[in-house]
Amino acid sequence: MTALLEVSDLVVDFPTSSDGVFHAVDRVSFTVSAGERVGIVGESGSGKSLTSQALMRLVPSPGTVSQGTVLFEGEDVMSFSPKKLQTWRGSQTAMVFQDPMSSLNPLMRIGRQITESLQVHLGLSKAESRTRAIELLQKVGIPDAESRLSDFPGAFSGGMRQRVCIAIATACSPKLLIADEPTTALDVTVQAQVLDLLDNMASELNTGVILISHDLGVISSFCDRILVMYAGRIVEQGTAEQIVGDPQHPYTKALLASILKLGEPIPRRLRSISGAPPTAGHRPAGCSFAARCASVIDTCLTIDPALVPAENTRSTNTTAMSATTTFAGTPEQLVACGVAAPAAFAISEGATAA
Amino acid sequence: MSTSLLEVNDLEVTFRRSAGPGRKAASVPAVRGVSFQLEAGTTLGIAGESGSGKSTIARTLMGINTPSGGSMNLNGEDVTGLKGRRLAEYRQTMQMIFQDPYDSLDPRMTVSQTLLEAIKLRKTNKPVSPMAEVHELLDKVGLSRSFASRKPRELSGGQRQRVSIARALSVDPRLILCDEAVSALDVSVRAQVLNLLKDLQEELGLAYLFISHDLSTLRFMADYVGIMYLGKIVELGTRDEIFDRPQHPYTRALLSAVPEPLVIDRTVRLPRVRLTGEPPSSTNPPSGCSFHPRCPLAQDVCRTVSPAARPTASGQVAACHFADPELVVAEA
Repeated sequence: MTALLEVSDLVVDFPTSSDGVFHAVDRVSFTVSAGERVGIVGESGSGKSLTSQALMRLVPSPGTVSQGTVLFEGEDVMSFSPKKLQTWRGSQTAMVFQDPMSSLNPLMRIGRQITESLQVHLGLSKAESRTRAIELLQKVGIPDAESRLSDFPGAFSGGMRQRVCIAIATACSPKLLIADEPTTALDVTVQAQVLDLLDNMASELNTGVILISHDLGVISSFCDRILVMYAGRIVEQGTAEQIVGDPQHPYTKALLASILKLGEPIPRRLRSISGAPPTAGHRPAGCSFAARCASVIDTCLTIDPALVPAENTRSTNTTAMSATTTFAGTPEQLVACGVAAPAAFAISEGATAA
Repeated sequence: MSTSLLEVNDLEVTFRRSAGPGRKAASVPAVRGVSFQLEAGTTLGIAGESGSGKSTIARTLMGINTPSGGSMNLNGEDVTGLKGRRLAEYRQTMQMIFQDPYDSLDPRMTVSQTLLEAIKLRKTNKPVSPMAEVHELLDKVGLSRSFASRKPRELSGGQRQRVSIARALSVDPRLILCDEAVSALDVSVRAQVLNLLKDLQEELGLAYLFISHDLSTLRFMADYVGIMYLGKIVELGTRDEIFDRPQHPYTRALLSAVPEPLVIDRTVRLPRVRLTGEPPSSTNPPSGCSFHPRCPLAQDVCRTVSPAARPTASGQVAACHFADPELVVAEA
C-alpha cells in the first residue's frame, strides 16, 4: 500500500548574507499513513515547522524548496497548479497553528469562518453548512454551539479558539492534519483536552496527523512514530516506544535526560546539554551535534553521518519491527550517528567518494 | 515578630477594566486574599493556569501593581505600597527575572552597559571598580568575559537569560522573583539555566519566588509550592506534600494533565483526571468554591460556601471542603 504522504529528500534553502545558501531543512524524508500520528520534535530553529510548511507549499519568502518530492496519495504536490493547490489545502489537508488568535479572522463571525470552507470545498448550501458547523462545534466540545456561531473570535478564550481552529481544520474531513505546536499557547489542563480531541479525530476519521512540538512529553504521549530533528535534519526516527524507551542518538538521549519527569526521583542537578544548537548558516563540518555531544569521537568532526538503521538489534525489537512493517510500511528505527551505528559514517563516506 | 524574609498577608489586587465595545466597566479581582511566607535561602514555587494571578503577585511585590488590600513585609518591615526613593531602595533587596529575555534587555546596550547601569544605581555598597564587578557577575552566571562587549542580538536565548540573571544579581538582592524565567527556553538550555539558579542559591543564600506553569520544573526548583486558581492559593505545602500527596482536586487534576515522556506502554496509560471546561473568568468568579464548575467532587456545599484554607492531615494547607486523606484512598 502507498502511504498517504511521502516526503523524500526535502531541502528548504534560505539565502545567507554572504551570497550563499543555508539548508534550513536538509534532506528530510518520511512517510505518513492514514490514521497514523507522526510527531516531529526539535528545538527552536531545528526546521520542524519549516518542514511542515514546505509540504503544504507555504515556505515563507525568501526561503525556497530547492530539492525533494512530496507525494500526497501518489500525486506530486510540488507540481500542483495554484488552483489545485487551493482546493487541496482545506479539503484534503489542513493545518492547526500555535496561536489561535492570529489564525482566526477577528472581524468575521465564527460561523462564517467554518461554513466558508464547507461551501467552497464541499459545495454545501447555506443551511446545510450551518447545520454541519453546529455539529462540528459540538464535536470539539463547545457548549451552546448554535448561539456561538454568531460570536466573534474575541468572545472565545484561548482553548475555545483552538477548538474552533480544529473544527475549521476538520470541517472537510481532511486526510492529513498538520498541527504545529497546537497546545503550546494553552494551559496544561486545556492542552490535555485538545490532545484528546486530535486523538479522536485520528482514530474516528482515519486522519493522518503530523504533530509538531518542542515538548517530547506531548509528542510521546500522543504519537505512534517520532522524528527527532536537529539543525535541519532528522537525526533519529522510530516508534514512540523506540525513541523513548531505547534512544540511540546522543541528542535524543540528552534531550530525554534533560526533561524533568514527575514520576522520577528529583535529581540534585539536571543533566543538561552544554552549548547551543548551531546558528543559521553556521553548520560545522562533520556532525552538527558534535560540539555538544558527550560521546564525540574524532571522526564526528570530519564525517557527516547518514541516517541509517539503528544497530540496537534486540530480539523483541526485530519482531515488533516486522509486525509493524507489514502494518503500514513503518520503517525501522533510524539514527544519524556514527558512534551509535558505524554504518552512518561508512555510508556517508561512500556518498562523498561517489 | 516573624523571622521570615518575606511575609505576604491577605494580599488583594483588583484591576479596573474600562468599558469597551460590547462590555461594561468592571472590576477584576486578580488576586483574592493570598498569604504566604518565604524564608531566606529557600524557594517558593507558584503554579497555576494563565489568569490565575501568579504573575500579578510578583508584579505587586515589585511595586509595579498596587495592592488594593493586605500587606507585604520584607525583613519584618512593611513594604506595602512604597513609592519613589523608598521603592527604589526596596527593589535592591528584591529583583525580578522575566520570561522573555528578548524583551527585557535593551537591544542597543551592550552587556556591560546593561550591567553597569544596574551597578551604578546601587545605593549601598558603592562599587569601587565597576568594570571588575561586571566581569565578576559574568563569571557568576557562567559567561566568558568576552560577552561584555556584545549586544543582545548576538546572544542566544539562554545567554540572554544569563545576562538577565547577572543584572538581577548586580544589586546584591536577597530575593529574586522568577516569573516563568525558563519557559521561553529550549529544553536543553532550560536545564543549564535551572542548574545555574540552584548553584547561585547555594552560593549566595538567595531566596526565590519561582513562578511557573510547568509543574515538573517546580518540582525540581521549589522547597514549598503554592497552587493558584482564580486569584487564590488553593493548596500550599512542601514540595513532597504537594507532589506526592496532593489534597486539592485541582492540584490532582493539574498533576495528571502533565504529559509524561516515560509512558512507554501506551496501552496502559494512567487513568487521568480530566478536567472539563476551562478556567472561569476572574471578572465574574463562580459562587462558593471557584473551582466547583470543573470539580469532579463538587457537592451542593461547594456551590454556596467558599472553603477556607485549612491544614490537612498530610501536612499542607488546602482550601477544599473535601480535602481529606481518606477521600484520596477511596477515590483510588
